[in-house]
Amino acid sequence: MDSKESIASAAEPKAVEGHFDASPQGRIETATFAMG
Amino acid sequence: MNPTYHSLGDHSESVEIDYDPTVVSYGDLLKIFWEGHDAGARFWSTQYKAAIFYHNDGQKRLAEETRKRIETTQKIKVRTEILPFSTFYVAEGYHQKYSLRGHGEILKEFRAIYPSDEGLMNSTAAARVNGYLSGLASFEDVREAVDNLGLTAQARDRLLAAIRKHGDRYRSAFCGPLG
Repeated sequence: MDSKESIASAAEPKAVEGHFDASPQGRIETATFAMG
Repeated sequence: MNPTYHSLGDHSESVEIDYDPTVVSYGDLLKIFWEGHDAGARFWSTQYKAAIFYHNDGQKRLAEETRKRIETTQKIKVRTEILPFSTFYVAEGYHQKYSLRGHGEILKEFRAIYPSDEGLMNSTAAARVNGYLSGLASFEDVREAVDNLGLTAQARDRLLAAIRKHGDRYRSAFCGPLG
């Protein structure tokens, strides 16, 4: 494991990070808004 | 050619939200949207107009229903537009995670993980911290979440100190209407 991987794995708990990233679980929909 | 901040053409600044409808519904998002802006205000430029860009008939129906409800209950003419979605252009990197960019020491820790602007933009942890630094959560909520953001103890302390500063802003701006 190089230093970057080490930082990434230590710093980014999977439960928090990545839910919508590489392999989203469940159904994902999109909404778009302009708020002025 | 894609629109840019200095050459926006007839585009409007917008947010695109990917969400899991089993966790949060489109109706929930609409509620936050309507409560988060003045639907009766005139907009003076296309860049900063208020609009819902619907992606399907279901979203269109819900958007129109909620607009009608606001017009009836608040007795105002809603100027927020309801339009079909066409294309979303991602803003330039330096516009992404704007509040986080104002806190260099915290940003540095995310940069170690996400050196590219695209990586930073797609990080849900960075998005949370950016929202916290924009005043979109209470101090208590951030304190509860801060250990799960992948930050060092030093950055956690910096984040909490920054949130403590604008805690009142959160309460006055968001606590009431969002209930």
